[in-house]
Amino acid sequence: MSVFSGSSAVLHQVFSDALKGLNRGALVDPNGNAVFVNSHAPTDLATLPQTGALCHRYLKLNDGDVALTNDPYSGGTSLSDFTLVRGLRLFKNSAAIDYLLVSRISHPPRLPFHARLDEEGVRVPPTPLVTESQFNRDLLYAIAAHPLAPRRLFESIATELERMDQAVKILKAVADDPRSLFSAAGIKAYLDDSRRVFETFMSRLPLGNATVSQQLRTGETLKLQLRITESQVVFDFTGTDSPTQFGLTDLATFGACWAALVGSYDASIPANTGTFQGVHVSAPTKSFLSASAPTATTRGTSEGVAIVGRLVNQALARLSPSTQLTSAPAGDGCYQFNFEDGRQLTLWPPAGQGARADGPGTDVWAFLQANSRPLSPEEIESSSGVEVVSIDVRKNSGGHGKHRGGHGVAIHLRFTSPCSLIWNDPSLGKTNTGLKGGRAGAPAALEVFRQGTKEREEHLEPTGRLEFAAGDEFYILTGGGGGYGEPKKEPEDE
Amino acid sequence: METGFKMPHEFALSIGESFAELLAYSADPAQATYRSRWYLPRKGVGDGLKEALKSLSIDETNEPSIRLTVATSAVERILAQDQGRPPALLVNAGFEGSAHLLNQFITPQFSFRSERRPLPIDNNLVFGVSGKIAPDGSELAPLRLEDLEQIVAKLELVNVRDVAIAFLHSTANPKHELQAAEFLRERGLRPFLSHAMEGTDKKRRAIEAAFAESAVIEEKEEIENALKPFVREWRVVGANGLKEWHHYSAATIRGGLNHALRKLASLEDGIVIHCGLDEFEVYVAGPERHLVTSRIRPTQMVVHGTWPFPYFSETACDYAPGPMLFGKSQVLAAVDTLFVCQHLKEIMGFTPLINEKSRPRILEALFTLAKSSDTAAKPEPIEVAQSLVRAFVEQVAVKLQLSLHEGALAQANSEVQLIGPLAETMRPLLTERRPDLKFVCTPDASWGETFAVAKACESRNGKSATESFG
Repeated sequence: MSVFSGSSAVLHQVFSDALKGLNRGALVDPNGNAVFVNSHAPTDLATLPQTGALCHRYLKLNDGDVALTNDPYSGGTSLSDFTLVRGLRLFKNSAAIDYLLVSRISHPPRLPFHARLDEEGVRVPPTPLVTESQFNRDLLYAIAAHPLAPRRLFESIATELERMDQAVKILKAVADDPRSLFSAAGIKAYLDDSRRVFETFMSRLPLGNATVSQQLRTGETLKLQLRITESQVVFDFTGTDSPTQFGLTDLATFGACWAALVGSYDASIPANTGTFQGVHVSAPTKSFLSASAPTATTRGTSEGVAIVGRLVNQALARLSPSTQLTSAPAGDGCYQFNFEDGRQLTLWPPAGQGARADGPGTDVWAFLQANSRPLSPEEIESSSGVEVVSIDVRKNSGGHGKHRGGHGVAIHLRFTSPCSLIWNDPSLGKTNTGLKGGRAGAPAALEVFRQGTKEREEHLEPTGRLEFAAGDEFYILTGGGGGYGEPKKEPEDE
Repeated sequence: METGFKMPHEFALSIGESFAELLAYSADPAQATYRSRWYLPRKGVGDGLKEALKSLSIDETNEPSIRLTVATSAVERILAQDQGRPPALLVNAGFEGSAHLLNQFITPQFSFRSERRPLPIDNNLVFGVSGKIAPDGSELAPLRLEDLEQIVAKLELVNVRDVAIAFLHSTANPKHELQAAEFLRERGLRPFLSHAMEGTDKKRRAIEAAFAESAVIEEKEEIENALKPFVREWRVVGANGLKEWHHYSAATIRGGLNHALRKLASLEDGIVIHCGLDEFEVYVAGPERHLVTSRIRPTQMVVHGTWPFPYFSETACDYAPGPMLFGKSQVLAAVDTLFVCQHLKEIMGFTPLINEKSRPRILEALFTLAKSSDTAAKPEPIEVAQSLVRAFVEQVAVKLQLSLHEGALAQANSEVQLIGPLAETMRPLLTERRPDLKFVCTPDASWGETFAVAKACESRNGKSATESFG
């Protein structure tokens, strides 16, 4: 079928439907050009295509072959994220594979964070997992049995392979229609139209340069020069320090910049090669935004993404003030509870969004929507030895202002069996200042009430470890976003 | 409308989001003595039924002899048009503020202007009740009925009758939901229990049912008022099959029309595409009749959104004031493009609503969209319409292709049956798109929805499926 005006939108829908069962998935050509990326994680945008291309380059995948890797330095993100790459021959006349289906599975990270990659988990370079329809179970068992491998790795990968089967079934069915838009011409039109979508988006951007920098609490300096011309957006991080505490790969940095750019303008833009072409990221070699082995990446791909995203937003706000977010908690705190019976619960409680120049912040929000699954008390209770006593919006935590900062969340847990907690939450104790007269949002805090006592322990350390006995109670109070603009009247307690 | 002479004993009524259809027949719906499709914003369900009685010369001298079967999209319509009333919501104490937090964001992927999918509730009507069920179904703390006493007193003050109950772990053990429901029922309130809802998002379903209930009851009463002296047996199609009339509630009837269509499709071989005025669905043969709902709806609005060309938005408009072809609205929809491209075939009850003078206005709207197209050559308005029609057909073709891979084609001898008011409109378009398949419309294809309702109680061998009754 010849392509027509509108065919790209139909094809986009086909890809969305095919990949909707994959939480973090992409359709990529064998050279690593992204046709369609569907993921809530900014770090995936450029890393999924790259993982696909590298696996194919090393392993020469055929139709149905699947490779496995989690290596951040082979296109991955962090060692807790395992990526599967499957070769796809879709068209009858093709001699080799036409595309690669890439899917990434998240597992809880190993806390506390480590400085070296090999301490963060087991590192799996691109490895053949399914070859000529033979699933190498023994190999996967061996990887899953490694002491640093994520729990239930075998099961999660086996499940993901089934999900990929479903996606492949849809893609092959559509490609099997002789008049399908899913053809070389259809894909070309789709990528061309996507590029035009991005060009239209760019025409809305203010032209100019802006320079911002930030001193991180871990000591590094982060510098960004943003240059927006009529044809491209350049994020130049020259001057940024080498890694001390955490690192991001250059591709992960690209994803953080791209997502923060389109997110700042609330733009709905397909993520693919056509829309990536207008964005250039320059991260100096050996800076923590272009980390290389053996630098650890887990912290970088969570906390680091939020830091880069905020800096991008600040730089954009210099050129277009309406996009500015006020200060807000990072919203990327990670809490890991390990119970005596071996069960583990990992929570990423969302925080309040900083108010914008043109409106209030969103309550209980995760920056760039990473880890933004709704908090389900039923899931928490079902998977662990803890009772959720309450979950509620943390009232009055958002900073007052002409536009209020978003409120954080208050989670009250009561332990039913002993456990130990390890956490990493850079927003603990950190005030989220308002802008233009807006008041600060409440800092995040942790509170503990030991069974049989009424004394409150407060914890504001960004990282730590606590032991709990059955009956102890624990509050996670995430921070509120800063307000924007002078409030008309002072807040009354809600 | 068409009338005959024989006194019918069966009424099959399907109520869509904007149109209602009635078939009156004695034994076989294909031999209907009366058929009517009417536009609900202009003529209510009750008035349409009264008109049918008059046409059929049925009056109070007749014995009550009619068996009525109804399927309705009332809940879908009420939710889409926000016509319900915020109900009360009972949750476990401690979770009063968390109902909204359970909702996914609906804004673009990385948006900084995040919005959650709204819930039709009023925060002042969310109440916590003490009591807790554990994940394994054991009772951690008994339900505190004193809490319910206070809540009932408050609800009486604000005159709210419908109450959604969404307690934690109720699917593991519904005891507390059932206790609360009994307590509320005894006090004249209408409870909606999350554990009893269809689907995965049971809590949302309970809230939506409670929101829609008062309007659903109005619709039910309208039917009763029109037909009471003449009906001997009342039945409604629910998501799980045929139900007794007292089940006519928002908790039960949602998905009833889909159930009826699936049932009808199960009586056929191969693939059935329902081309409805509200939405399109593809039904596939197989061990379990598979439903592939097409995302595209005839009322899908045309906008200049993400893409450099006009395309269908995620949202659909209502038929009131309607797409532009009715002559009253400024909202361009998919069905308008079928109309200006002269693909739209005669549809009883629909065609008379079309205002021919709307054609230049539709072309004007397309001209505006064509001007804003980000393409090197600005297309003519009619070319924009043609592209949209192609996209519309292509969406259906994709769903059809997926269905073919379910293995239905071999049984179907390459035949695909089209039913519904837009069946005749879609036949040439789909034939052009898929010349390898044969698209078939029976003479009664346009009445597919109401046929489905009529056949909702029949099993594959033609016997009445009364086992599902009640």
